Amino acid sequence: MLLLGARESKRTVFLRRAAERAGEPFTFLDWDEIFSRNAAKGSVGQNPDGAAKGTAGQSPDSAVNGTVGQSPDGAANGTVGQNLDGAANGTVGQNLDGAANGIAGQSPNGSIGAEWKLFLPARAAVKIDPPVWNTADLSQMQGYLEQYRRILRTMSASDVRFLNSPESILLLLDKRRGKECLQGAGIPTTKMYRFRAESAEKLIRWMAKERVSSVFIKPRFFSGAAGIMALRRHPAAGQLLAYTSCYLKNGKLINAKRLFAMRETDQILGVLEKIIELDCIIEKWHPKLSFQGKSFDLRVVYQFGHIADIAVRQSRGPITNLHLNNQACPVETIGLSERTMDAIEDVCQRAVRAVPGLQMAGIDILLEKGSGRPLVIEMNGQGDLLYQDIFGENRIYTEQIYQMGQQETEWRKLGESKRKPKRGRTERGKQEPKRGRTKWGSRKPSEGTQRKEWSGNVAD
Amino acid sequence: MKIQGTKRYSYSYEEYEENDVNAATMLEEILADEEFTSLNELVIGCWGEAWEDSPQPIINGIVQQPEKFSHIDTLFVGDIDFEECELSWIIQGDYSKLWGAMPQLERLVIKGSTELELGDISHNNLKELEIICGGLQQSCFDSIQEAKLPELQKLFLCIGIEDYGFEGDVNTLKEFLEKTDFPKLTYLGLADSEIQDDVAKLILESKYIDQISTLDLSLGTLTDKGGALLLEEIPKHPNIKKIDLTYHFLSDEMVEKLKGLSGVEVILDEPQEPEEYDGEVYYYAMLTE
Repeated sequence: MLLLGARESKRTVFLRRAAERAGEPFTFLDWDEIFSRNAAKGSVGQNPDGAAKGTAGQSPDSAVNGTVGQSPDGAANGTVGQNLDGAANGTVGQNLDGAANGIAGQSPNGSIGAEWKLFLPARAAVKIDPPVWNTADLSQMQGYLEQYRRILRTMSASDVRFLNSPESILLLLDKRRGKECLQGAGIPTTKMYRFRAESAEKLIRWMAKERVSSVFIKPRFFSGAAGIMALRRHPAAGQLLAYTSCYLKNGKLINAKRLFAMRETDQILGVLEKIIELDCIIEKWHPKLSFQGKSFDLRVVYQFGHIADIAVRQSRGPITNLHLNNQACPVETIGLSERTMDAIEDVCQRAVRAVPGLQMAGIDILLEKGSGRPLVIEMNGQGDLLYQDIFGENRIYTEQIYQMGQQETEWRKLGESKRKPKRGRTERGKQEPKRGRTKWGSRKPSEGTQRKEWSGNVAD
Repeated sequence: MKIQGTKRYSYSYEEYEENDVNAATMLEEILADEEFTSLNELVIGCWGEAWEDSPQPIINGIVQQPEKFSHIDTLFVGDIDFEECELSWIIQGDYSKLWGAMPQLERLVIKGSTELELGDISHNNLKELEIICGGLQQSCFDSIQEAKLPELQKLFLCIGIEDYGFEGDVNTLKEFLEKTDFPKLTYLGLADSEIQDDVAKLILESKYIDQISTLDLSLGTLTDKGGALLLEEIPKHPNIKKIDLTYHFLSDEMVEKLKGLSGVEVILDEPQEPEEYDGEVYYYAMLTE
């Protein structure tokens, strides 16, 4: 199986760890490799860390070694067969070099898809993790994200089995299309306004006219808290208040790792104008349930038809995303009722089913204050990283490795039986790992009746 | 026999957006609620558009029909979090006549200070008074300064910042501590201040320091300066058993030292880091964001 990701990221480290534990061959391809080729900056040979140098070649158990290289399948597939052969022989660097010179050199723009296929073991299971962006400048990030999506669009391949297809990831990278898709499937979501903000001034005027007092402004293609602003307008006084993780520096919109509260109208409008330039959706600010004086939402990792884990993200501010130093805790601590848990599971199942090609998703859900009803804020096709899990039992990635291994085996068997007599290859006799939390620990039945303490830690 | 029961009445955003509900309808609903007579604690949550309308109809209801609320000894008006309404936007009401209408009242919590009036406070039963806000205005300090509350055991006030209503400075608080007269006070909290180190110093020098058992300096901008003062002074006052410093800017070393204070429980949750912005360092109190 192959992971396309960022070399030092926790996602890579912990998926690889899970693969090693399971004894599954694991090939890694670095996004930097793809990007540098895309930029046609020369050959991969100069990159001594060549991503596909792969464990595959070294692993005696390698699926690559066992079937594809020799199979007519591989041969039929031209470049792939050669490439894999190369990998098996441990000469990937050279081989890729050749490929890069041959294809990318000639047509730097149109050939990414063809190029990326060179890395693919045929009939492999493939997971696409996101690249890591080393910039806090949001307009620069916008450019990177565009490039990233362009490459994803060329990545469909018929001869691999994706954990999540590039199409499904792309759909969910677009907050507007993603939300429309969920709403089209009748899934309860937070409200996205039809209004398209063209400027800060027009947005404020619209809020005044429609008597909308609180909104979220979210750049359409960003993930995490980057570029998000929670904006309030006092319906009577017109006064503005904003919470955001970005600020202006030398006219550039910079993303910080903390939340700023802004009260000065000019300052808010300045930042807002830049955020709106990034192409935004406008959402309603639904009051969230709170627990012990802090409001919270949930990041649910749903995969292979069940909930794998849930992290509760608590915050005293309106933006709860994890890397803004907000506190995350396991779901048991807030004691949700069985009814609520069932409703969450149902919403997640329907949401994932609404997107073809999606087997795993990180789903952000809020429980509406008052009703406690779960609403999907958004769904992410690459949102499976939960610190509480990787630093715990690493179940999410362990299950992914198991499932990808199973799918790879079945996929290959299917191919073999169609095209060739059985080769007597034995099943991978792997034991199914724990599926994550099938039981929800001790659910406290007292949801709704719990009252926060009055004094001291009463939060705004 | 003492009645024990609590209930929170609150309208959700959907409810007050779609229906014509407000503080007046909430009062009706409370009085019509079968459960109400069995409660001793009444919690008023969001009464509608709290940034525009005050809870005055509810306060007036209590004043006009005090007998219907005679079983309530604990009252919280404004249990609303920032998801529903900015703390500084919550419109409060005039409580001047409440003191006489609820002689049985023991605990009162008020959240939000915009348009808050406390009037002349005189009450023989009140044991706890808390005001949670982003900035407490002078008129409220004046009311509490002159208050006749012989049974008061706990006083917790958020001082807050100028933008949200606090008009005073160190001298305001100094005078406040000198002029108030609460002989039974055991819990003193002056919290959520941008001058939390100064507040610590003032309380350590006040008449209450040999009287109270709990000192609450939470939610503000307490730094090592205030921490060092506490380290030095607290051992001289063995009556102090608990110090709440939740949300602070103390260094790790200072935190360790404070934990070492013997015979005192020190709460040091939610450590903060100052914010640097264009070369300047900023400290924010909690309820100012």
